[in-house]
Amino acid sequence: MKALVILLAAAASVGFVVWLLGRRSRRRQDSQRPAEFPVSRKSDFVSDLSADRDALALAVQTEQSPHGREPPMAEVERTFSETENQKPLEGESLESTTPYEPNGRGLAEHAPNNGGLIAESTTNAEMPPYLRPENSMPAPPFSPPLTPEPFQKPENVQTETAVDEMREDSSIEAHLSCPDPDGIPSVPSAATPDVTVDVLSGASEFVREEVSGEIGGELAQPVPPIHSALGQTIETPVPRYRPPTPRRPQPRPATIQPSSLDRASQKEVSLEIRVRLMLDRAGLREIGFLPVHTPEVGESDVDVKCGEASLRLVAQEDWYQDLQFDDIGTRLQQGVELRGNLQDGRRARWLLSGRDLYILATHPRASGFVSTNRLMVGRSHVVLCTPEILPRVEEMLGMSRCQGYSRVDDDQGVPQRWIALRDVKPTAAISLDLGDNLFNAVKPTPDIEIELEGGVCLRHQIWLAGYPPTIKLFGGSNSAQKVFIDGKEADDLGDGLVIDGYDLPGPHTVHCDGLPVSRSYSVEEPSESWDRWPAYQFTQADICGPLVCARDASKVLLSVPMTNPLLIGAEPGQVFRCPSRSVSVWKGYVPFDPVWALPSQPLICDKKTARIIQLNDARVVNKGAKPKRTPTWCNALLDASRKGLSLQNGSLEAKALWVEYKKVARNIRRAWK
Amino acid sequence: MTPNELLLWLSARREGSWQQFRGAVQSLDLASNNDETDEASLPLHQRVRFSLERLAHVEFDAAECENGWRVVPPSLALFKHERGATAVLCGARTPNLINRLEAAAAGLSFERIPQPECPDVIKIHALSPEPLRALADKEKLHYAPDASSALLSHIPPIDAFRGWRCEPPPTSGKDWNVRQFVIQKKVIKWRPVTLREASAPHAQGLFCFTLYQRPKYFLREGRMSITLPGAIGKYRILSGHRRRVLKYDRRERRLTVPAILRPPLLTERALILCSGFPAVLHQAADLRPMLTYRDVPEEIAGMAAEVLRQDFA
Repeated sequence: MKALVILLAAAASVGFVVWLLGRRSRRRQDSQRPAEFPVSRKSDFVSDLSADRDALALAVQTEQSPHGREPPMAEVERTFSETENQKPLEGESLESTTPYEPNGRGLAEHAPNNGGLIAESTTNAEMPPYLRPENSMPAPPFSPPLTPEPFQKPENVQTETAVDEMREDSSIEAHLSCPDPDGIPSVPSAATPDVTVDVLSGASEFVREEVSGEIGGELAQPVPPIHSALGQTIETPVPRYRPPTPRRPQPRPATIQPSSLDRASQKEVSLEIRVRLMLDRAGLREIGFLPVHTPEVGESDVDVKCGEASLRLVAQEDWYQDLQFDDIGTRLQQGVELRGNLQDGRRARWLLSGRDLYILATHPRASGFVSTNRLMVGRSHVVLCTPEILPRVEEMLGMSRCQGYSRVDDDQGVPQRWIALRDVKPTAAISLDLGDNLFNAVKPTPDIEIELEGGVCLRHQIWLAGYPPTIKLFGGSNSAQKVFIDGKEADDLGDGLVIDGYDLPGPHTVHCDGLPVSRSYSVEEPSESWDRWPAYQFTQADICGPLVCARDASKVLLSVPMTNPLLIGAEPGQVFRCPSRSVSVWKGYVPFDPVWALPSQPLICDKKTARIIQLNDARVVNKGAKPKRTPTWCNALLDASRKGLSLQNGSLEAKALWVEYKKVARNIRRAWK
Repeated sequence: MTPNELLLWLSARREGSWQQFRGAVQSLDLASNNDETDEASLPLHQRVRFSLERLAHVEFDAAECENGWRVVPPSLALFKHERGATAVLCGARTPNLINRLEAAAAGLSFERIPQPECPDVIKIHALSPEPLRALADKEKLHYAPDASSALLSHIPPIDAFRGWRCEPPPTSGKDWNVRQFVIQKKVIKWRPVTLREASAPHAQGLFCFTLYQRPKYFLREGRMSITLPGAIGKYRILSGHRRRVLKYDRRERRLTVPAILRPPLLTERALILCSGFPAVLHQAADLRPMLTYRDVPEEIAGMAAEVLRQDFA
């Protein structure tokens, strides 16, 4: 009996062991079953790797979510384009590009290739037209993965699915496998030690932190293969689980993408060169090139190369300073190209393509005539062409009923091998030829245009009150065309269209009856309050225009005969000697209000002609002044007295005042002695 | 756009950059002048700029408008003469202001005289300064009594070095055009020299270094090298040589200088404000181009001579 019990127990043990082994074997097989990882994920993963992203975050994108939804079409298209990215390690962060929740099907599951991807997605009724198959561009073949081979193997692609599943049971261990970039098969071996990670609550965050750095951040580096096997002994030190540290929401790190400004800075700025000419009675006075200046290129001057020559383009508001060349005739035919670097480092290029025909018309922002596209009916132009094409040009001008124009040739200042036709004013439109035809420029089109010319344009479409624009209509049969200004039919006075009040301050609109042609402008009354400011600052005064603001307001502007340059004030010590000038009258500012003007050297002057001039009748002040500070004041008065100079103003009051000054001077002198 | 309209435009805009000014001048359609002064080769925008500056309408590259311009507040600059007093309208203008002035000057003599390459000269005459002062008060204009005397009394003479920057001349650069201001007997001229000559340690005198039409003047005296306006440098050299270049006609009340020796800006402004008219360019008997300032009282001529450290020839 006892032996039976032992046998049964042994059999039960064996059976349990067998069952246990069998169960373990099944679990192992289950864990290695590839069906756990849809094949489609590899393409997703590969394509997303091209954006240098967090590997596990990428996995999130491709996992099968029970509540997932179809990615929006835009996202599908973006993913498609990202797959085509030839710079695999450059791109935005995943979060920024794929905000949708992934569904279970990867991109490759949608279609075997990228072209099919869009086609299959058209089942969505809300698909925008540009994504519909009939509108889709021929798609390139599916791009091969841009990652090493092992990355494409599903067994080497670990997704967070497993991790999330394991969250349910924190006691279960998770496997993390990482592909071998060198193509080593990812099978457990001694060379590729397994890593077992205990997965507890929040393990996904841990995994993201620990692994993404290796896969996402150092993808270019050989990644040590990491394999796991449930229940295997940990052969390498495994970092202990750290619960996720609560962190404050961090601002999104700056993207690696260059900003739009940076991108713009890498571009070359291309601008045009216009031709400008000035006419006078004798013919052509001046011809040159006007490089266009825009705010985009900044306000600074630009050093450019024109062939081998160096030039500086001096900036203005709408143009650079015009350029004059001795061989301008040749340059008109062959074209001009200027190249330089702007202040912000961008390259800039100004180009005038060479041609045999130029049409020039008045321009609101430049004097003279500036090159334009083509003739316009009713407008006065200058046509500049070579003699070879002149007959054809004149034929065209005849067709457009240009009359009264005159030729200006090289005797009248036009560059050699060129002829200018001035006062070219077409009155009829000509239909244009199809294609690129040089002579289209001399064929006025029937298009109607409203032009605002003249006046004082303060900025953009704002004119100064009293100097409104002249409103003109060009093109087509403008004589029959009705034009309305502010809703009232305008009268054509010959030199412009007007209504009552078209020039009053405020906004105005001009439109053509029945045509989608309109312009608007406004007239502005300038403010009349101006401030004075110190444009020039000197030690004695600030100056602005004719205005002088003296720092010492006590100074007196005075004119005295040059014969009496020694000025004496009412206070002992107040002496000013006027600087010598070759004039009869000295004028200038004196630091005090002088009472007497004496000859420069009273003792040695001519007594017959020299006089003492009284400038005002102020009595002496501060009679008890310290004598040491007043010798010149005393000496001048006493010398003039000793010489016996007479007063120019011989009145009794003047004499009494003079006597008073003499007495004070004498008293001070005595005190000094 | 005419020079009058340009001043209206500047007045409405009040201040701006040099580029804006150049752009505005670009739309001026003025015939090329036959000026034979240093300014003969200057482009239009520079000539217009100097006109506006000398006539006290606009300040360029001054304090509070560095690298740009700013319009002077509208002002009446007064000068007295034997027939009474005359006020010249300087600074900003608006169409309304001019109309109002013209209307308010009823009983006074209102003159508007066109000038080449600069806005019209607007003058109002009265028998005494009082009506002009009242007019300025009424129209809220600034009033500058005896503007010429005030200007000349408060600007430093040409030999006052305060404010000028010590700076050595350039020693390298192939694009420099270098000239030296020389006085040889009766000849006063700019002589081309090499960069090496101008920057040599022993070089003395006034040198003009020009790059891309932008002149820069260096006065080298002893070991000192300073940058200063060319006109001031010229008169300083003249003062050192004791050369008299100013001629004053007391009867005609005209002050004449060789065209190459145009006075510094503020001195010239003071001379212009004696009449409201810019200097007239003409040829002397020896065919030398000369500049003449009209209606300059003797005492003002004397003050200008003192500032320029000159005496009448």
